[in-house]
Amino acid sequence: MLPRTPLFMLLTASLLAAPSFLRPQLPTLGSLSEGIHKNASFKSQQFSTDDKYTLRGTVINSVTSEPIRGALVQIYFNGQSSMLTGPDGKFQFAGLPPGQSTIMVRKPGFFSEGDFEPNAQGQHLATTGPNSSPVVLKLVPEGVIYGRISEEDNEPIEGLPVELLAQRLQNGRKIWDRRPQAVTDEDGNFRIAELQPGDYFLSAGPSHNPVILPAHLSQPGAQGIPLVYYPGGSELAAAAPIAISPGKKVEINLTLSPQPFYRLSGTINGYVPGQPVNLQLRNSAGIPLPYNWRFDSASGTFHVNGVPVGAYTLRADAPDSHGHSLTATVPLTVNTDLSGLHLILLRTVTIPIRMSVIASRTGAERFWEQENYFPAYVQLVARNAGLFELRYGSQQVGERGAASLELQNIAPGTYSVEVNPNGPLYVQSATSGTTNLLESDLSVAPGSSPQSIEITLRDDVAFLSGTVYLGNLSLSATILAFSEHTSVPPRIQPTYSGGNFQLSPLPPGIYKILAVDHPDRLEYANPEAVKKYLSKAREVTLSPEQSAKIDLELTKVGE
Amino acid sequence: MPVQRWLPLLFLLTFFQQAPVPSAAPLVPPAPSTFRISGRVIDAITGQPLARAFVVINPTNSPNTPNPPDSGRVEITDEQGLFAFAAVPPGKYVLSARHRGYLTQMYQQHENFMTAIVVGPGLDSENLIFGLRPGASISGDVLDESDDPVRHADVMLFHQFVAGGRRRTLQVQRAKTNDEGHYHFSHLNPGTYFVGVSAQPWYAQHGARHRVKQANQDGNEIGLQPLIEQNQSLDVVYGIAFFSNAGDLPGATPIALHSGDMAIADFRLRPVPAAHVLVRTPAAEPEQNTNVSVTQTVADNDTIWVPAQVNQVAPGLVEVSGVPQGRFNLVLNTQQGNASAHRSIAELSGSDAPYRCPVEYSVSRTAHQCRSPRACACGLPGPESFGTQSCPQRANSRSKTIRSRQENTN
Repeated sequence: MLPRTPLFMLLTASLLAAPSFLRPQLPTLGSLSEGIHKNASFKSQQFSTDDKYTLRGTVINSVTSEPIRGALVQIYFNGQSSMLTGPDGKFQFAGLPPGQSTIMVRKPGFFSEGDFEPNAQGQHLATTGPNSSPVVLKLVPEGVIYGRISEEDNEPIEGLPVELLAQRLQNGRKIWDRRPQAVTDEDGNFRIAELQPGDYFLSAGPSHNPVILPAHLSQPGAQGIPLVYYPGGSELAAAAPIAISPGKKVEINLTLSPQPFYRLSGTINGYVPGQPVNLQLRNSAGIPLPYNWRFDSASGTFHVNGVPVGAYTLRADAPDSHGHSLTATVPLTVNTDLSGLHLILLRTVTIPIRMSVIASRTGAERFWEQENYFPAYVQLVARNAGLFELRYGSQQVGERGAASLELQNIAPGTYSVEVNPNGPLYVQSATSGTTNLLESDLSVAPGSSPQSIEITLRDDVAFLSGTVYLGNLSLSATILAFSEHTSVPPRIQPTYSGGNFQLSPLPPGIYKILAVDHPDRLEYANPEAVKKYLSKAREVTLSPEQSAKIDLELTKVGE
Repeated sequence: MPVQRWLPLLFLLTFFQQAPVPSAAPLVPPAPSTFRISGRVIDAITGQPLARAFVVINPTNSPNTPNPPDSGRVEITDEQGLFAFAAVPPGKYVLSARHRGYLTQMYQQHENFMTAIVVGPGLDSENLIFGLRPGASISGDVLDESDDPVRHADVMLFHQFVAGGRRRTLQVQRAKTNDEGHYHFSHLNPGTYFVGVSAQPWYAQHGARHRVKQANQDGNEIGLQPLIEQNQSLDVVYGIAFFSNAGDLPGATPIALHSGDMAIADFRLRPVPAAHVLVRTPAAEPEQNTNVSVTQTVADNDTIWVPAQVNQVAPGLVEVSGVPQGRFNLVLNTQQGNASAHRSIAELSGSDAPYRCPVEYSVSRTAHQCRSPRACACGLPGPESFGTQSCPQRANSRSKTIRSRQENTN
């Protein structure tokens, strides 16, 4: 989360307060033209802090521009005041001191525009004083996905879980979100509301309890509704997104038929008797499926019923007697009952981290030499973990004074390594044996004792500051700094006041610097997505210990 | 869920179904070693056969030997509703059936009794008529005072029944309203039901009304100062509402459900001013963690948590806001390190609302007398007193009983 700065919100407020272009659409605003009026006697151009003002405004639906009655408007000045809008969507707060107030608005069934702006947190800023105008606050209507799930003979399917996966931007990357599950009712109906605009993928199933059909029927054995992604496949990759724009209600009906469910069984080796063993089956999208595993600690056998056809990863986790974790993973393709599965629990791996700092900055304090100071923190990001990112962070071990960092309980796999310097330092190199971790992934083999990660940092950082303009107006924005090395993630930092910025220390090198209005709408960690904006970026070459200052023109995302 | 209610039934079976042991008679051909269970599943009301019903037999063992999972056998009824299990070993079986729209039932199940099927030489386990009763449902919409749907309202379903010669009312299901304010209870057995709704106005603002005006040099004399008047039209709550128009279970309208009934119970919630209650807690000791919560008793031994807002006004004094009117319980939880928690309950009753003035209660381990709510800052017994106004006594208006008990929750 980026720090919240009042100035950042100013941008939102300046766009929202008195949007004259909106007035023609708003017949209700005609009567608001007098705007702010003063309770006390009013002298033009002069006011004291004792004067009291009234703030008026209207809450409208961002899609229809219709006024919204009964919306809760809250204003924060020295105190706090709340009211509901009237039938015409209007509100007014009297007795306000001059200055800026934060306004929040909400109503069930709507989002505040600020809900999509991570830095604004649902707030607007309004100015009260002799010359301020009425405010227009917009509420964005929610989206709803609803529908019915039935079998081919139109019999409703009751009690089937329905889930939405949403793709959204976080830290400039597309990430996946799971939404709370719905369950079909006795008529097969489901309904999921409170959806923000975006693309959603709908899954239904699997049914929890397979039906065991008698042997003399044409398809005997266990059957149930498998996990299905709308419009019909078992793979998320083949699913169709459901686009939800503000206020959109989409009906999704699915006709599903029972499929054979299979039984998985096998044995587990290497667990410590008496310690719990956790089994988990994930589908090819990395989503864990809710199954009731039966594990018999005495014999080491496990089984589970009701697994539909598909590709899965079966994983077992257990602690050993020293508190380390043991793990085993088996990829499975299920299209029949599988018995004799065999999982051998192996100790996860602990990777020590060794760090050194090259102090070359003239006259600089060697702050990293303080006791218990770590010049960087390390994270491993698992590759091929499915939709959901899996991260391991470095942990501090050892006594005070002799503490070090290590990565603990790392399961076998392939990881990208992120090194985050702690203080005005940058990473010169990060290696594991002969592997350059700034360029290549770290591979952790099962049961191995891997080499330590060696990190070298430098302190001769460079500094970049400046101001963001739109025309002659300096204004708040978010700065993105793209390194010439594509493996280095872009730096993101908001301006702090009046459009001024001061980036945290940067490694020397060549950068493309961009000032944007809506970083939350830009997939800036994806080089393809930022390509068209980079032509507007300013290129800066920073040498060690250099302090540079630049002016930037605001780039509007989406234009 | 009906399924849970059946479990004890299995243990009763032996008392109701003692299979007569046939005396071995000569000249009778040797008995077959396996038998059949067969019959027809019908709608118990109309007598129509039910096709594609799932019929399950499960051997019933002694109460101490539960059935192994997957021990049941399944058949599906044909177009005439007929089913047959062949090659059934002698023994005692629980026969159950389910069909969409009907209650999943055991054979001849009514109230707490059912009939097991006994299979063996000389016993007739064929041509059974298995009547299924359609399930009933209660659904409805919860709207607020502006006819907007109330989302996420807790809807409670209470079932009234006679057990052990006593009439009891128990909460049997709970649901949340959706974005349209709609709720739905299905698969209900015939019987007498009540529906209650617990919700809060989404816009409610229960700011604290008081703060402590400091204090002379000794720090002893603390005065309570009312905060600046807020917009009190938003300081409202919905009291718990029972269908059709009651604030408690005794006043609620019973909903009598017969098989297949689809009852509708709609609610329109009306906001009422929230009560603000000042609660004196035991003198805070260092590292002692005290919190106050509010619960309301809705049925026999059934209390729900009331989402009240608790603000500490001063050490040992909290203001509880957003409390509904009526009877409710103040619960004091004291946690000191890992020591045991003391839990005191002050039970408040009365109806002379709105409590525009705070009511002061002292919650402690020893019973306390509380004063009238009429004055805005009533004195409390004890060495410290808040405010200077005297408390007019109002006979019978508000009798408070404060129970205390000490529990070891460790």
